[in-house]
Amino acid sequence: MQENHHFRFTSVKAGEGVSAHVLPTRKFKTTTICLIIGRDLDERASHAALLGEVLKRGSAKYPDMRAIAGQTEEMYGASFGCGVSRIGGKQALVLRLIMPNEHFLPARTRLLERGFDFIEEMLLRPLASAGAFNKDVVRREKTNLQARIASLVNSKFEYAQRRCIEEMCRRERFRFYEYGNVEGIARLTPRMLFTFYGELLETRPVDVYVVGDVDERKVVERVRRMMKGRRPGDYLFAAPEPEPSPRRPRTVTEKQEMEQTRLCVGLRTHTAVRNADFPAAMMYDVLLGGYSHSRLFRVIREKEGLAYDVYSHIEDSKGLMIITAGLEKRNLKKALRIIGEQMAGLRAGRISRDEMAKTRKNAVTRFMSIADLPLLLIQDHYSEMVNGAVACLDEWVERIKGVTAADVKAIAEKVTVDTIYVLEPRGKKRTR
Amino acid sequence: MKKLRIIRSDVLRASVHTGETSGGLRAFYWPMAGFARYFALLAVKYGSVDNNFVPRAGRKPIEAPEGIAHFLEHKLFENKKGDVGGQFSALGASSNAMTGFDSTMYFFSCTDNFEKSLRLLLKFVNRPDFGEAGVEREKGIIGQEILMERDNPDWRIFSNMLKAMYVRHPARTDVAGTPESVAKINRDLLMECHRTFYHPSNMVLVAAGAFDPAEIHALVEGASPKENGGRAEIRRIYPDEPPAPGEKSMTERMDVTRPKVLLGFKDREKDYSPEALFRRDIITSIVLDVMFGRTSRLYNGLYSRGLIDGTFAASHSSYEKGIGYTAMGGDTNRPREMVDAIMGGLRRAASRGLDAREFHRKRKKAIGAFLSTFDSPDNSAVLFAHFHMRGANIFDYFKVMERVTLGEANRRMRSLLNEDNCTVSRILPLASKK
Repeated sequence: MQENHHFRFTSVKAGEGVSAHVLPTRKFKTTTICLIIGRDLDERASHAALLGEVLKRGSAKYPDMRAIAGQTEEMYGASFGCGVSRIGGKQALVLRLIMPNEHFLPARTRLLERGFDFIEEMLLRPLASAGAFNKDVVRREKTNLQARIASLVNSKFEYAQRRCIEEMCRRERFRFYEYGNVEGIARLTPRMLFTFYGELLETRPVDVYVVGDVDERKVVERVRRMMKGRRPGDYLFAAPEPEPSPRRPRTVTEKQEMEQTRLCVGLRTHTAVRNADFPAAMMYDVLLGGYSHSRLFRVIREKEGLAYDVYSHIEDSKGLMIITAGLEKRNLKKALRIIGEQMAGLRAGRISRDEMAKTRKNAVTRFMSIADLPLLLIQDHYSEMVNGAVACLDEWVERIKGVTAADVKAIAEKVTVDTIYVLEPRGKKRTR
Repeated sequence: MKKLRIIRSDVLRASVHTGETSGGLRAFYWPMAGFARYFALLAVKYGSVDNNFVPRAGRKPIEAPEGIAHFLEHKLFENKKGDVGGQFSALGASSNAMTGFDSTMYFFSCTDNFEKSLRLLLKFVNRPDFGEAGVEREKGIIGQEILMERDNPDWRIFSNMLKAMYVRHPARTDVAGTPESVAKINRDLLMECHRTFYHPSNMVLVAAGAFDPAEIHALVEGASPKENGGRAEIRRIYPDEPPAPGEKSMTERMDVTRPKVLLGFKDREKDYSPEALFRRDIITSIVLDVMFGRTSRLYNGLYSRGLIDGTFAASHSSYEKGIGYTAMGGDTNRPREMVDAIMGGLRRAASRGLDAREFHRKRKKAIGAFLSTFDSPDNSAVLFAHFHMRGANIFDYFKVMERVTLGEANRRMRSLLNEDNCTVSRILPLASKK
């Protein structure tokens, strides 16, 4: 077998709306299988989120958690996960299985084949009868999922980011939370969920990823067998939404019982991964707040000592950028002023050759590192695919290397501040 | 320079090369073909519990402010040229550090410029170069780090559990210290700690990636300090800690949506020799998996009664210097019932013993799961260093795991997981919602 140095997936059609993406490599001691069913974020995000929790809890052959865990243990401690996540701006239902590679195990264990049997069982033979999922399982998982959504507020860091996105994208699909919402989940019945499940299987694209020391043809054949019988259809995602018309930055402030103020600044770069200038936007993000030598880190943390954590990140599908920091309430204005100044500096094109070189190296390292982590390789590929921009890591590295200071300035000129979200202490702490 | 010795693992099909520099730094090199990423760490056996010690220059023990090991970790990242993190970035590498109870670890990863980055690592950790003004500024940054942690209920419940469990042992203090203790730190104190603990013989280097170990060792030899003073005997002082937990429970209210409960079981074992510790950790991990794993009757009973959800987890941690505890818990709407049900489950298990079939199955699973953790240079190096610092060779894991017996596991379960050792930490919502 040829070692795959470029970490390029081979993508093969393996049925109607079904693709197999295989990356054969001997680098890892594990084999990773990910089956992804993607959909646009919408009002029914709750359906898909609950479905993920219910599928995870049982199938015809493995009717409860004990049986499932017993089976994964038999597969030499394979780890199984199932649930939704947000990848490339889509809601993705992901079934994932990570197994030790059979070449490291005592005898020929046919672990890959057993892995596929297991994924197939969990996805296609759920614990259901007469057109409805098991009602006890649904009831329990509704409660748990609702609790999980409600408990987002317990993590100030994540809560502030989520709220910032919600406020920023009030009229876009992006506002929907991938785990759905408490009311949406309350309305779901075992029957409704089962109908949704059938519809999902019939209308949404299925992407199966395998990374590891595997035979590509066998994988494709196995995927084809698993997903046979789907009817021809378009299996598409909605077209990219138009951007909302420009407006002045909005400030949203919320208060909670807490000690530290969390600041999130939502920016729009007005580009996305499918456009030629996205590498420049990625460089803009890294320069401004994306790494431990970024402008914001240097000034807000190292020079002024205002915050412990301050950084930014950019997202593929809409080029949204969020800057986040935890600080003392009295330093909020100062931090906002510094953020404004640093953005203005980039707009004015004040970027030294040295700073460009450092930033470029950092961005390149990030891409190269993805090659060592199977789940990230998969996630990245999926995000690029659903946003119409598949490229292998080498190509990304070349694009990043080609970004000039003038390209970054061009991005800086069009970046706009959309929303400033502040989560701050309510004042005196109550104790009881 | 002496030739490197090779440590092999047949299970992992790995060879780790090891040698010692003339200054006394023990180094391990793990060649990993095919990986784009390189990783190296330099760890010091010095952490948040080492506050009471005899300084290298003196005879009398001193008591340093809480949080000083962590503060020193932050400050080593400053030198005359500015921020060391930035200097790693200039090389395309990303660096970070971590302070725990008994160790401080500095590390970087990169895909290019590995040798230059390694030189920088050895330099900045060994030669402090920070000024007084930086120390004052750092108090602001660490103050924000402390507040960030305090706003995190999962961190708080854990911190409270340790406070309730330990009566005198410094494991009860927070790694970052408090705003008050941090205020007392100055440059002289930091330098004193550095002189005392950052001695090559109290440190270890682990590197992993696609490189030639002999070449890297030559570089390390050249870039490490030449200590002539021989091995520094470090005297650390720990208070006598009673075997039972100090408090049976601790409760705090925060702005959370539902109660959180964490049960802590304090380890009473006295033998903290490397072999005993290593074996005990492995046995305890199986015990917990049999009792609280996803296949266990107890876990499934708790789950189906709605007393726990997916947030529930159980794990054991232990360190040299007499720190050992099992912690288990998660979110629940009925804290009291959850605790009662777990205690009932523990009593039943104590009288019946662990299920033999489950025990053997968990062993098989553990071996596969352990294998999977070696899938990146980062994880491999960190695990290796962690066990080395406690006198163990991680490759022995497989051997020990294959030989542990059901009898040992039962004895361990009965002595550790019982009510006398237990302390309950709770975080409750501000206003009672019932």
